[in-house]
Amino acid sequence: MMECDKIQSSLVDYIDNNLSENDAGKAARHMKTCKNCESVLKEMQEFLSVIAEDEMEQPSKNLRKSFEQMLAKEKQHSESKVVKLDLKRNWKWYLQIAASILLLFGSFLFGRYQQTKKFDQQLVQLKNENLASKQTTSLALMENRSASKRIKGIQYIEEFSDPDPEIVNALVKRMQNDENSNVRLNAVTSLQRFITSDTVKDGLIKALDIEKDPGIQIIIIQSLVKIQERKLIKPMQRLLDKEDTQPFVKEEIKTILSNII
Amino acid sequence: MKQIKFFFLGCIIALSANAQEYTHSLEGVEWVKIESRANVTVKTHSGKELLIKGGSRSGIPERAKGLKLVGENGTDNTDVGYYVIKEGNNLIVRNLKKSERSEIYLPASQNISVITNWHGDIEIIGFLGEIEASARLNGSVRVEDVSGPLTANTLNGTIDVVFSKVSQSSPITVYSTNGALDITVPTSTPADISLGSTNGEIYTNFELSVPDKGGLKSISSKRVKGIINKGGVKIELKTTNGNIYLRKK
Repeated sequence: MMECDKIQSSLVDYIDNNLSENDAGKAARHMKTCKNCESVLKEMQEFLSVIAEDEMEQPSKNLRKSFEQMLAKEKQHSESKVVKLDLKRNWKWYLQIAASILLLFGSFLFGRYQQTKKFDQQLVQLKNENLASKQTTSLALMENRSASKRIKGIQYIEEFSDPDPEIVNALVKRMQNDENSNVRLNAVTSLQRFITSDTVKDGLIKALDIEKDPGIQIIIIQSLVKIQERKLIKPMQRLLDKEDTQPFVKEEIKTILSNII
Repeated sequence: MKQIKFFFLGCIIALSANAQEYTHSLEGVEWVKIESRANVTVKTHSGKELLIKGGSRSGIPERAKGLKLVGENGTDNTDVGYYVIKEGNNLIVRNLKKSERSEIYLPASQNISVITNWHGDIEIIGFLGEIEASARLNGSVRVEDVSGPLTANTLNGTIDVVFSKVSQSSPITVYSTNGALDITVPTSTPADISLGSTNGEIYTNFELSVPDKGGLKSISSKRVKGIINKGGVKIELKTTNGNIYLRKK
């Protein structure tokens, strides 16, 4: 079968006498033994002879003649038919160029502006989201079991230029209720930034009544004296009357009260 | 005969030693909160549990036989004068005796919080976890060979801290009203340092480089701020009437 495939593929060359003597002999010998290949050969010879006999059709001589006439005619016409561009450029032309350049640049700049505007908006949004997540983190840290983590949460607030009222309230709560004095101290220090807010002022005054740590008492007193808060006088007097108030705190209060009255 | 005598003697020693020790599992315990009116020393051990060793005089008085020690905030449930109870993931360890030193042993990684109320001095040595120490009246605080985070405060006692290294995870704050602060940190520690004493002086052999923050003034002129080794975790030392000593190690 392999032999047949090979022979059949070289049949065209065989017919055209393009095979080497050796190959042609082989093919001829095979053809005598293999009927199938012989019939294929015959079919192909018939097909090729039909093509060979078919005569090529020639265009009529008239066609050629009329074509040449037409060409000559065209050649005569085409002389001096080149159209020159008008090199005189008037103001309109310049205006058009200027306008198109302006349009190009304008649209480019506008596109860029739109892009940056969009980008800025995204940036602002991202910043807000970042701030919000930081505030959430800060609030969560302030509730942590670890005093050091609570302090970390409080110190986070330094990064907020305008923190939520929720944050300030949490800070006031820390200052008044945290069991650890390091945390309360940090809260009081952090609240100094918002001292003008009424929530913070009232928070500080309330804290003075419950605060046991003399160092923190002093800080609260000094911060309220700085803004001349009159509401401070009563809790200071209460502190002065308490037996367990430290002597140096009493001294401080006496000095302040003597200056006010 | 002699061997038997020694055997019995050994048994008695072992029994009496056992009577002065108490252990409690630390499984599921995040924080150990120790409260005491007397001195407390907390050290590390290789065991995984809480171990309390009673002081030398911790034997129960003759008259108290068959009775329980009762304190302000609980009843002795350990036979070493302590009330120990697990609350959530905190283990509360309360010393009921008012004037007796005792030693508490914990694994080095344990988070611990120690509060003393009367004259109790606090001593904490060798921990890698978080430490909170608060001597609320006259006690002092001594913390050695720790890495922080540390939160310590006293009213009148001094606070001495020697760091073996400084954890960068969360702030270190040391605060006293009347006591001095004496803090030693490794020379190479990166940190943002804030030192403040209202009426005392501040001493250090660190070169505090003050970052120029364009017009940002510190809150109080009594406060010194600076960074060491390019900055890092916040270390805040503050006292109202004491001195501050910040040392290199």
